[in-house]
Amino acid sequence: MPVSELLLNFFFYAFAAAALGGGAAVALSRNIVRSAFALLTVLFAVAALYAFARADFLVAAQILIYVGGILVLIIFAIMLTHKITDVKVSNESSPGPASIVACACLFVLLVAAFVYGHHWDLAPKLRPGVFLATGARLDMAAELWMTQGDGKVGISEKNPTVLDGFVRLHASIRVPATRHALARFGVSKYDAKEKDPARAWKELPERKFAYLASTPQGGAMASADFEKLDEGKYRWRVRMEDEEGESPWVAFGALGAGDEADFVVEKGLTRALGRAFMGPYLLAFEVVSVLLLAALVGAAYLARKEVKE
Amino acid sequence: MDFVFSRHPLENFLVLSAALFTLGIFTILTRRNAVSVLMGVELVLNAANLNFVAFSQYVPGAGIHGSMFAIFVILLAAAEAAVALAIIIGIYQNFGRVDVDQANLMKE
Repeated sequence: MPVSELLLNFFFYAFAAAALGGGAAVALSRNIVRSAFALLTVLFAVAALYAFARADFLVAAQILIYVGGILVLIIFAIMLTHKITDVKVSNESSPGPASIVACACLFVLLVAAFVYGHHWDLAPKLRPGVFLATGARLDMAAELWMTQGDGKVGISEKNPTVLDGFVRLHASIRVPATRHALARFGVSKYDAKEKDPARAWKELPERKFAYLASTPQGGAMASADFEKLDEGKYRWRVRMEDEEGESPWVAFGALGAGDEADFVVEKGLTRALGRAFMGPYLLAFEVVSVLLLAALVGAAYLARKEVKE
Repeated sequence: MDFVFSRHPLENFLVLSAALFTLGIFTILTRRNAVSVLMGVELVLNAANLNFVAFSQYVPGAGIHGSMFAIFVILLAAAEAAVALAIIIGIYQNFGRVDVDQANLMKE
């Protein structure tokens, strides 16, 4: 495991531990102010975990709204509902056996359902000799998986980095340990207007070769750079051929939200979220605005001092 | 099956959010102070948000919809916290305490 991966794991588990410890303190602390500050820890740790899921905008939103808004409100409410002179700010809880058992059962059920009950189909449907590229998000090109013939041959293309004007594909390819393979990356562009599906894929001149050194475990790494293929949008596919020229592995992908905008070179979530807010989510956005206004008016009405006639 | 984060990120997120969710439910069940109950609700919402974000990132083809939902959840949590805390302060003004077990009258 390389150092970067070790660090990634370490920090993930550190933030996860912070979130869980904070959550436990929220649930169990005898002092409500301690609970509130433990909630602060949880909110910051969850923001950090959003960063691990590459949701950069949500990190900022979480800190601004949750920490800056909701937590401050909660602390205000604590201060307003306790007499300042109270030395011991009580925070009673009555954890009876029923609630403990119920929560334990809930947790076990959730974990069993998540981990053992359903195996999330993270790989697209596999076909021999073909691997599909699909993208989790517009800015990240693909997770590629491949199966070939008999046994399972996985090609995973983890997070091909999209640099300005360049597409860099990293493919981690499993090949039998005895074989060496020359991966020939070729890129085809998809012409959606072409009626004949056989001719819709136009091979582009960019071609790269990468030698796959296979490891005893049968894994291999290859990477190739492509110059920017087209303005903004295209479907693409990657052909990879092994050394003997047999069984060309073809990856093709329709990335992103719509069929037409397949591969948009973007970094970060913010632009995509902004477009979605002004596009398909416009109605929901407006409804939430009205809801926030109503909540503002309602909160002000509820919290006002009664004027005694 | 191992549970290293870099190999199984989605499962790690799911288990973590399940734990946070359970802690939130436990808080809601056992606390008597209404503000503490609200903190439990925030924990539950954060756990749900973690799931949304993790699915949005790690399930191919999910797009940004999970992140969108997470944003809406955060906004609703803000609205809910504002109204709930106003109600709590109203209860405090009327009853002199914020014990959810004993606040069982619509008005004095």
